[in-house]
Amino acid sequence: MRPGEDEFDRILDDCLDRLLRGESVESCLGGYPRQALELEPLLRAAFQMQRALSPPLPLGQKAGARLRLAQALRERAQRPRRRWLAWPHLASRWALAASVALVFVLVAGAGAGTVAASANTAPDQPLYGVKRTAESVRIFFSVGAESKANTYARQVDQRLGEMARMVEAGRPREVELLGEDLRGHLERIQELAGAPGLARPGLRKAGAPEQRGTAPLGPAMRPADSAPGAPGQRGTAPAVIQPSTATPQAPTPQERVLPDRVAALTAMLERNVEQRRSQLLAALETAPPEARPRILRAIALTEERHRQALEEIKRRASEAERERRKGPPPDSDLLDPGGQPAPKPPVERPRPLRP
Amino acid sequence: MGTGAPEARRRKEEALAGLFETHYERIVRYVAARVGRSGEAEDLASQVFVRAVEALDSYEERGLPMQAWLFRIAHNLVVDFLRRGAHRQTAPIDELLVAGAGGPEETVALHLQVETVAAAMEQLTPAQRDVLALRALGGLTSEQAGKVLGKSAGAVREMQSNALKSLRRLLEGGEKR
Repeated sequence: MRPGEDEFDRILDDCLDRLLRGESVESCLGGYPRQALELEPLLRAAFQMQRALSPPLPLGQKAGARLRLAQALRERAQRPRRRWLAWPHLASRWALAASVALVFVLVAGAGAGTVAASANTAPDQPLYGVKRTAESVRIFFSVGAESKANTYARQVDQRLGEMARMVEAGRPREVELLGEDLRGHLERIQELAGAPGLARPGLRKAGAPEQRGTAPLGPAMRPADSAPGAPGQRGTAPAVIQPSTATPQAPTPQERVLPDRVAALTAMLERNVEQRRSQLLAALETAPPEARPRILRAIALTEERHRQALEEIKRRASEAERERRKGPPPDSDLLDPGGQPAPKPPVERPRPLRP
Repeated sequence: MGTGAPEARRRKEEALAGLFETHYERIVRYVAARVGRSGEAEDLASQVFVRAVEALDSYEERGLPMQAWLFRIAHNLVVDFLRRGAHRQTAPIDELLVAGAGGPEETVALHLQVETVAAAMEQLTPAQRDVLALRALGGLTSEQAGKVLGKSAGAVREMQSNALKSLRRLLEGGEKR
């Protein structure tokens, strides 16, 4: 108490605190019998005011405000940082390789039913590891950048669906982990949509080892200087002749999604996230209150990453397309003995997007 | 940005999201008691959290808990709002009633009660309204309310005492009418 402060003010303040904690007026008065007569009308006035001005808020109003908060958190999210979370059972590349082999055996043999049974599992279920490994196998056997990118896009949708289930279950850590995995899928799509040399600082360079959770590198993910005939190059389409002056990291058309297919890919990603957003927010309403803050943040972060990834995919695709249109720079190496420019690389023809 | 920064950032964001769950209603009521209109109060309360997200990097606890910081943002928004449209200072706060009532009798009784309290509150000085709203509706301690208002806890207690004495007189007068 400061010198000279009225003792009564302090007692009234204490009683008000007790009222706010849920005590009754009578209980507060019992603590200060000598001041009770003076205190009582003031406490009743405070109580009356508090009760009158604290009606329940309209249903849905808080949900609207929560959406605005989620949007603000999403906008605040910065560019992706390095991963710091990992599924323990998918962390090791050796473990992953062993799992791929195991799943291959299972798929080829009597275990196909197990893989099928794992299709709708979530991270809190025993067969979830089988599901993720089966996904890695699908990536491994996807031929061509477009096929791989579409497979990753389907995996993004899978992660969003699993997130909604984990939100409902009130499992914030799993929601965060799934958000990290989703980011990994999106990064792979980004790489497939543009030239490896266009990789943004802070992102894994195309062809660099996967950190976790995804397949061994397929043809589209191989570094440009990989040894020919390496296992990862199995299934690669015949190489398109490139001008000799092309940078070593310039992609062949087979190593990236063709620009005209990127639009379809991004449209699919946008459509999926739009559909899953309402599912996620509905799930959030039923999540345990104590888990909501962390979940809300994880959802906002995921949405922001998704948005950024889409922008990046479009940017890379248009940059790759610009590079393609520019063609080879004039160079004596490109001239034929008669002084004529070397023929341009074959024009890419659009291919239908795989379902 | 050091290695601890993302973690600190994550903690702040989670703390803010947590306070949204526990304090949103309080902030709406605090704002409504100051600006008088529930629709505007809801909008301002929502803005409080958006502003908080925008300013989150600059927030450091240093004796000001995050909930008090949110009320400071709310207080500043209210002051700006009232400055922009002073005519609204005397707007009725009984619109707050809309959502909470049950049956018709309950609605009428609650309406009367809200009307009485609202009329009394409007006759308090802005500072008195502020202190009572922060304490009784916002649930802040007198120390926290002092930090929001830039006053000492003792000054808040004194102001609160005077405000309650005035409110009591006004409520008794209103009921006798």
